[in-house]
Amino acid sequence: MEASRSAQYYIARQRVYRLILYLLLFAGCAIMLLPFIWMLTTSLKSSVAVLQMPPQWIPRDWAWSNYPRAWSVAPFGRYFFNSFFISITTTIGEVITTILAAYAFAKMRFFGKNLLFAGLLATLMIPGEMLLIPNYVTIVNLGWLDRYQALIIPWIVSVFGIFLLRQFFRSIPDELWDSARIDGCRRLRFLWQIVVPLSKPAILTVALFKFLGSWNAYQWVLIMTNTEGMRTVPVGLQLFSSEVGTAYELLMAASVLAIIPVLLLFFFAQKQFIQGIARTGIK
Amino acid sequence: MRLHRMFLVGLIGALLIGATALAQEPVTITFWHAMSSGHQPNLQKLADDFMAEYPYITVELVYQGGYGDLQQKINAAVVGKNLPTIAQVYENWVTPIAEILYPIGPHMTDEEKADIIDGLVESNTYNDVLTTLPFNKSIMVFYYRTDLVPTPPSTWEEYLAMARDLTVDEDGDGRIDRYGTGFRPAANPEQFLTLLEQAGGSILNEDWSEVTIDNDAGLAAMQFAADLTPYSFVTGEYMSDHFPYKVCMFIDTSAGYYYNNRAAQNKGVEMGVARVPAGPANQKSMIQGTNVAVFDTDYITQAQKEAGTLLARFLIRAENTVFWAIKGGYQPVTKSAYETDEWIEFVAGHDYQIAMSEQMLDGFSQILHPYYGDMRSIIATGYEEVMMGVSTPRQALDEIAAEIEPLLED
Amino acid sequence: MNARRRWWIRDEWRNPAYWRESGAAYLYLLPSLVILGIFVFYPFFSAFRLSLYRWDLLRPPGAYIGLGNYEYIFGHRYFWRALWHTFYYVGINVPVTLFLAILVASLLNKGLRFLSFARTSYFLAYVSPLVAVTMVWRWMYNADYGLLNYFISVVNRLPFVNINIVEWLRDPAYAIPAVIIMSVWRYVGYQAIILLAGMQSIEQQYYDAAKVDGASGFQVWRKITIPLLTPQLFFVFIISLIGSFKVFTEIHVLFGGTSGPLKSAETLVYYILRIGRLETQHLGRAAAASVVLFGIIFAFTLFQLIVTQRRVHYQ
Repeated sequence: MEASRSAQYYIARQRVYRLILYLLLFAGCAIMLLPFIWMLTTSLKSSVAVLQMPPQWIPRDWAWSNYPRAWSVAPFGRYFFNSFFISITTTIGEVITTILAAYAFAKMRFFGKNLLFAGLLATLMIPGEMLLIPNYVTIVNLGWLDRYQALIIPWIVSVFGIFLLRQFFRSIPDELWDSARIDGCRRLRFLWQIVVPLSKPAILTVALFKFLGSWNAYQWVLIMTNTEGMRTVPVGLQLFSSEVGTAYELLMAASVLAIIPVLLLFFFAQKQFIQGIARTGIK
Repeated sequence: MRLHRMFLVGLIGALLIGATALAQEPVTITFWHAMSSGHQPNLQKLADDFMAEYPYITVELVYQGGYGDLQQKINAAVVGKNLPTIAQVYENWVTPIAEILYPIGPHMTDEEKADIIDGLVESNTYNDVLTTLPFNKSIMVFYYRTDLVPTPPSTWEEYLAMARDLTVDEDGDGRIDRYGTGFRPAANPEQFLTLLEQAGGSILNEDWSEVTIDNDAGLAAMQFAADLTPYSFVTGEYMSDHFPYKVCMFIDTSAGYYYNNRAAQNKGVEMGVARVPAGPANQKSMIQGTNVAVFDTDYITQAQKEAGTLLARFLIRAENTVFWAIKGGYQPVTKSAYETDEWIEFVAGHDYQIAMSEQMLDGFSQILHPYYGDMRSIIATGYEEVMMGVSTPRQALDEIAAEIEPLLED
Repeated sequence: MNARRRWWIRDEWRNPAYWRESGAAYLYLLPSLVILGIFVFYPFFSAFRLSLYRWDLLRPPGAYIGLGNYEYIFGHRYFWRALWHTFYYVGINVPVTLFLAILVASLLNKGLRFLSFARTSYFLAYVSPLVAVTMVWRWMYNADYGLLNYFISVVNRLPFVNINIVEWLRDPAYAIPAVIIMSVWRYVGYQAIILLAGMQSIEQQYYDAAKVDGASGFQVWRKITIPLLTPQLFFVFIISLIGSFKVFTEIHVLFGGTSGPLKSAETLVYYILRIGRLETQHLGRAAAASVVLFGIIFAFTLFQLIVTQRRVHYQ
């Protein structure tokens, strides 16, 4: 009798506990989604309704035409192509260079390791603005101005990514390498065939953030290009703002379109996360 | 026989002229601008008309983002030796590089030069030569809601009195619910510079050797701002975000008409536009906006420079500046433009332009001092402190003067 | 016999295998180092160099003035204000965001339903265009119609509670808190995702062992998840620290192109950009302030690296 009552209390307590967790989760989600919802509803408002205060959460007049109107403002087809091309190539390039570099910092012993790592971190500590003009001159001197090289090559390295992966790689036990080495495995093979599959969540995270960064890059693209045909989506989005005000309804429509690829990528990456890692067979 | 000879001379002459026209080498020029999507079709039309008139010239319009981005691009291009032929510029961007500007004035007739609005001549003149030309300009005017402000104030005294009467705390909770007027001191110090001009003051004296902003005229202007402070909604945001329910009347740029009017319409209120209230010395207000400048470097050819000057002169032709103004919400930049049929017709159909036109013809611009940017920043800081109630006019002006002093020594 | 060994020469340097491994390591690092060298290190030193000159756009870098720029900024009261604002912002933003991110990641790590919906929501907060984010927050901060003041007025209906309505965005005292709140909101999702990836990498065997030992959920969280998460915690902390020191865009858009009423939200990077690009173009002075900023961040990071060396557990 005693046992079942305390068991009942336990189950009840667990239920309440879970309920609270769900409430917290939903409250958190609701507040996180507000700007996204505003973005969606504003993209369907007429230009008059956009700046109402207090804001309209449900558009009274559904201006579906905002989407084609926004699209026609600039060659967005070309912009999307460029954005995809640049984001994909930089992400692939960055994943490769980052895996190599992070592994070196995480698992290899070499001369000047700590100093070099500190130096890499140091590069994150200066505001990017200060680097813009010297980089512009470099790009001009290399003859890369207004060409894809300028938009891709400088960005296939990311200190942020190297740092992130290094932390993950360091968590992988050294015994793994020791036993692999005994079996005659070469380092590079070990890296690609064992370490990488074990670090999928981390690598996906790095790739996701890199794609996002490249996708949203504005200032660099603007400064390093002059022709329409080379520009990307963020530059197109700037067209909706003038010095006295912004056409929010069009900007939000274009922004909704711009965010879709990122969301799709996120969903894909999430699935890989969830599958998790089966770490059997370590020994 | 004589007729024959005349005919022959005429024929040869025509052939020569035709030959020269055909022999004109085709030239391509680049025009960097910051015009957003709404303005771009209009700019393109102007470019197309220009190219139709000068078939050997090709104009490439290049969008370079917002004004901040355009400035950064131009600066980078100076260092990277990559400047375009012609660009839209603010005065401060080119004052430090005046040496590499190609003066447009010497290519203009005296009539063309005299036609430019008086208040715009000085701010386009470097070393006594008209170098750049005004492009998209707007003027500070007075916006008000007609239901609470049936007649707009015409003097400072009236402005102060009306602002006081309109400031109310309706529900008695200690918080003011509606202010008579509003200001954006940090973002728009031009509002104060307008007051300064209206009081007969100036930042520096004629030959830029002394700071005069802290003299009696300057004090009168700053004091007026301080007097208005209790009845002013002070913010960094656009006034259209708070008009008409929080603010009843305010000084703002003519280019903001569309947004201000829309804000009024959203609340079912009518908006009026009038000249700014007159100060002790005059009723002028400040002109804001960009000019066009042609660059003079060794990688820009003479032909390109000349084509650039042709484009600049084309843009300020009466019919073109009127077109640009009507389509873009700007003000025409030449006196004769205001007398064209198109403009008169436009004003008749849009009566808010009456006040704007009058105000523009009586406008003034910034000085071209190399440290104007610093001065503007210093003045904005002091002005904001007064309007936020943390500084008195005297204190603020003394500090402003003290900070501007050292800038004159260089 | 050992007393005269040269102590500054490490043992490992005597081993030729060490140098072979070094060679291999540099090969692995080659692409990264080359690109970073050209596009980051070189302009980085350029900026340092710039701080010793009086910037001249036509004849860069201009006249050499030694420490003149440093003298200027150290004598400029707005520099010191910016420094204070920065420390205020970092001091609150970093720990609060991290703490909340750990909670959120833990929540997301549990096998609750609607997990992917939740994860997407947090991610969306980070990914939504800044324009949309700021519009919503400007509404929330609106003194008359905004959500925050609405909550305050609701809370004020309780007896004995009388909180003043805050003129968000117009009151200098609340400028930085306003930025912090918006910032925390935006970056919690970003940090939570990284921590989540870390949590997912913790080997099941640890959890299994804990269950066998009869540990409660909370104990598992405290003794296993968090300690094994320290590599990622460390990473997120450092990145958050560095990023917070460099905050600019959020302030610029929240306050309509100004740095807050009476420049009350002007952080060091805002100051740098204001004098170097937005209001004037004193690039030499901006570079000097950047060098100072760099020094501060570097000192902080180094301190963190040393202090947490022992507490970071790699498996």
